[in-house]
Amino acid sequence: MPTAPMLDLWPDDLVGGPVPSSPIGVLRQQGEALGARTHNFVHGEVQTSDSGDGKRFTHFLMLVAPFLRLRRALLKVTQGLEPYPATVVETELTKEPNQNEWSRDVNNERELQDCLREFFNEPRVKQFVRTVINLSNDVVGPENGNA
Amino acid sequence: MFCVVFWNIGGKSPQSGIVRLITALQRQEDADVIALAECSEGVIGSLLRALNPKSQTWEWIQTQSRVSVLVRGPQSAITEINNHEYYSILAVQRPQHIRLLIGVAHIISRVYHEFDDVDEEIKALADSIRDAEVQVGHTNTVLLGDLNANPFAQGVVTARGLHAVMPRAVAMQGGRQVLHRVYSYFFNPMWKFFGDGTTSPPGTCYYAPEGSHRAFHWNMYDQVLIRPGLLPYYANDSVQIVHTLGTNSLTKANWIPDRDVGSDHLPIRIRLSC
Repeated sequence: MPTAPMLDLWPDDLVGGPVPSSPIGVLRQQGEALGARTHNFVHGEVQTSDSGDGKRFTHFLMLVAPFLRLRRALLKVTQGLEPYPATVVETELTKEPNQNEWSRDVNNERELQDCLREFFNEPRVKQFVRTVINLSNDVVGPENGNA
Repeated sequence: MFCVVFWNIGGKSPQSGIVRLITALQRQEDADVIALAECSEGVIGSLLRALNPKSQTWEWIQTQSRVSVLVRGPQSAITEINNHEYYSILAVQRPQHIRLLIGVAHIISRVYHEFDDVDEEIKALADSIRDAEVQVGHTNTVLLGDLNANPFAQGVVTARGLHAVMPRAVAMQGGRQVLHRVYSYFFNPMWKFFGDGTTSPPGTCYYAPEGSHRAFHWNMYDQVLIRPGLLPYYANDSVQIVHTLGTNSLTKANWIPDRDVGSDHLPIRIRLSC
C-alpha cells in the first residue's frame, strides 16, 4: 500500500553542490572500465571502511572475477574527511618480496588518475590482471569467442 | 517499470541457441533482472558477452543457490541476503525507487521426490522469505521460480507455506490469522492462465501422463507471486507466460513447449510500475 510521505530532518545542503570526483568515484569508474573491456568477466568494485573514529576512510579497489570465485583487494586508497589529499598503496596481491610497498600521495583527482594509470601499467599488475581475465575466459569455450 | 524474467532453460548448452533466445527475451520484455534455472556457467559467460557487446551493463550476481541471476545496472544495487541451494532472496535498492525483495527459486523436482518433499521445501522457502522481510523491514516482495508445484499445491496455498491466494481482493487484505498466528498473503496471478480458451498456454510445462491415475497434463510449475504491498504497482498484464520471442515460437502444436527450440519450460515475467 502507498505510505505517507517520509519525515526528513536532514539539512537541505547535506547533499548536492559542486563536489570534485572523490577517490571512491574514481576507483568505481576504473572498476567499471575494466568490466567494459571484459564483458564483466572481470571488474572492479569499491569496498569502504572507516577508521572507527570517523576521521579516516579506506577504499579498497576489489578485483572481482565471478567465474573464478575470486575477489581480491588490488589497491588501497586512504583519505580523511576531505577527499584529498589521499594515499594510494598497493596490497599484498602485487607487492614484490623484499621491497617496500608501492605507494603514492595524491592531492587531487588528476593526480589520482595519473597514479592509477601508473599502477595499472606496472608489469606485475598487468600480468596478474591479464591472467585473471584469461582464466575467466576459459569458462566459455573458444568456439564462443573470447572476452 | 521494473521487470524480472525467470526461465528454467533445461540445461541447454551455450551452443544450442539458448543464449540468443535469452537475449531476445531480455530485449522483448526490457528486463532488468534475468533469473535462470538449470543454467551452466558457459551459458552465463556467453550471455554476458551477448548482453554486453561494447559496454558494461549486465553483471552476474554470484548467488549461493542453483538459480543464476544477471542484473542490469550497478551490481551494488542488488544483494543476496538469504539463500539455500534451492533459492536466493535478493534485496534491491535503486535510487528514487521503493526497495524490493526478489525471491528466485528452483525447488526440488517431482521426478526424484514426493509431493510432500516438495511442499516441505516450499514451506522452508516461505520461512526464509518471512525472515528476509523482517531483516529488511518491508514486505515489497515478489517471488519467481520453478516451484515444481502447482498453484493449488499444499506448500503454495497453506498459511505456513507461501499462502498464495487466487483473488487479488483477498490478497489485498494483507494476511490471515490461523490458530493465533498471522500469516501474510501472496497474490498468485498464475491462476488466470489455467483453462482452455485463454490467449496464452494453460501452463508453463507439459508432461504426458504415461499411465498415472492423477495427471494434469499442463502444469503451472513456474510461478510469480506478489505481496499485497506491491499490488498498487501491478496491472492485469503485469505477469505473462512468454511463448513467442519476436518471430520465434517457443511452442509447438497446442502450445506445448518445444524443447528443440527452447526449453521444456516456458519463461515467465513480471513488470511492476515502480
